[in-house]
Amino acid sequence: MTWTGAERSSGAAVDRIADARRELLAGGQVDWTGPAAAAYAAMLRDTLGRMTGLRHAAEGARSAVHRHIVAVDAVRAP
Amino acid sequence: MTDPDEGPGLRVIGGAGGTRARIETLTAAAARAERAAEHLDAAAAHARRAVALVEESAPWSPVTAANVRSAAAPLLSGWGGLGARADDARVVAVGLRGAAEVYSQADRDATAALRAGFIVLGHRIGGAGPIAVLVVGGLLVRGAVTAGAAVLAARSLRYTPTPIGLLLRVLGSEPMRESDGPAGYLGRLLGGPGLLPEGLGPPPGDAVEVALPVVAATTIGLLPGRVPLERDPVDQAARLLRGGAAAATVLLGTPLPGLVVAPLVAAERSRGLSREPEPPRDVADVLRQVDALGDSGAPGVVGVQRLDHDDGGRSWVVTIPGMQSGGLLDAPAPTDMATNLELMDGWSDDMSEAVVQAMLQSGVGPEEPVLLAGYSQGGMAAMRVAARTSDMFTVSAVVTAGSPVGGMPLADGIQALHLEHTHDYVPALDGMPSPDAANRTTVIRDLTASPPADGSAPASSLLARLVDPIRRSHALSEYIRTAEQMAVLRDRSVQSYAESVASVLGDGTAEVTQQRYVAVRVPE
Repeated sequence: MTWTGAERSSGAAVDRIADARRELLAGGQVDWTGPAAAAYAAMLRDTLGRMTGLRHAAEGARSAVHRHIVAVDAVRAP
Repeated sequence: MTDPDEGPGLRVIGGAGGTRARIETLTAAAARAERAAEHLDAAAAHARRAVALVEESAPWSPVTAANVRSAAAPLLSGWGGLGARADDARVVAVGLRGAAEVYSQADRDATAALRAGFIVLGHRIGGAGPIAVLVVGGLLVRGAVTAGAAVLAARSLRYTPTPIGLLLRVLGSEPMRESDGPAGYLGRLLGGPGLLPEGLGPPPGDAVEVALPVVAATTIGLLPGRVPLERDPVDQAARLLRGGAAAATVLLGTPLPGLVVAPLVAAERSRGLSREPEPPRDVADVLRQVDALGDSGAPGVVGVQRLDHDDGGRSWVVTIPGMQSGGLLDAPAPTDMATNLELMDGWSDDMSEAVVQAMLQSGVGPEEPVLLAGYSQGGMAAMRVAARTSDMFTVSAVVTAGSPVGGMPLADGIQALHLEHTHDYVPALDGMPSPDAANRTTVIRDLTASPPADGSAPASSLLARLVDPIRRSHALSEYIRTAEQMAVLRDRSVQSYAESVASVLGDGTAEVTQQRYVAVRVPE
């Protein structure tokens, strides 16, 4: 059934957000010297903070997709 | 990156806390931000696909499909969704690359271009002939004398009750002296007690470093037959001089093309704190071992220490002395001027060969970490061995003291510490500045900031103030002291290097087996 691919995709979205977060966290281990670098450090921290909300949203979407697929399967079951 | 507050007259350039390392770290952070943007784009694509697939099945369960739409909306929002965050990450990446570029521009600085200009000018003056060199030299000397006389006159006029005297007193006032830039320089030149400016002393090695390539280029220009200038005039001059010395050896001396390296003394073993030889614990201890090579009573002696650690690991410390014979003709001991010239020019040299043979005879394994340490010429040999034996040994760290190694290459995986003194002209003899590489830390000490290591009284007269720093500055005892002072620095580059050294030396409880080898040139 094609819509089971939705569950895989929603799971992959969560995984890729985690990958992005890991990269940004590792990049944040910089000795932020100089005003320009410090300004981008602040921006990076802000991006990381916003990504926490997106990660929660992605997990919520994955659960919603799962519930939808369960519901569809129940309706279509003979 | 330098910081005058780092210690008692100590400056640190390069290493893990240096400009180059910061550039590399910023560039790496930018690359990570770019990868994060790619991940976020991919996450957005997956979220869109999931919603599209759910839409296909929405007629079967409209309520749960609506829940999916609602849950996915924040992810796909154009304002604060995954795409927007990917754009943020890209902006961070571009900004970090820009910050790295700013560092990089500052790193290149204008002095490199100025240096190249002076070198070309010097070569042209030399090419114009000896009279042109004499005229330019005369003008430079006259200019220096005139400038000195002007300073003396200005400092004398300060004491006169005239408007000019008042102006000079203002220019030399304390606030002016403490300011940065040209105003501060002028203030220090005119201010302070006495007729001579404070801090008057011999020119620092930096000045020699700038002047030497120009002198070398001028000399090359003077040679008959219009010798073209190569990339590095100091190396080129060293090669020409070495060629001349080799020819002179054939004509006037005895060519010694062979090299014999043999054990000098029987191996000694010890363990722990109380027995000789003691295991080295830090850079100062290693330099003391370089100093002790002189006790062997023979020139051209290389020290090799095997350290057997409690965990079964084995590491090595190799110590190399400085130049011991200044003659241009080949001497039996390879620690001579010929080796200096060969090391500067990049030729194969007998001292590096002697070190490699001593390491092979000692049984240094290809995987066992090695620390190479050398004083003056020995530092150059250490760098050469480290650069050329990557397929034979695992050199983890190099220490050089008072060595002209600024232009010598070193693989990224090897950590190097270069100790220099402000008025030691030997490290400046290659005419190259200290490299600001992530794996190369240079610690420069101003000896005028501390009393002599030999306990003699600090200089008081003007003549002593001029001569004393030069006399002390190339002494190995002072370099040992520099290493001691450096050890307590809380500098990131120094501490990072100390960790590399500790990985070779261990905790000071290793069992030590010490061997010395003597290298002698022989006729074939």
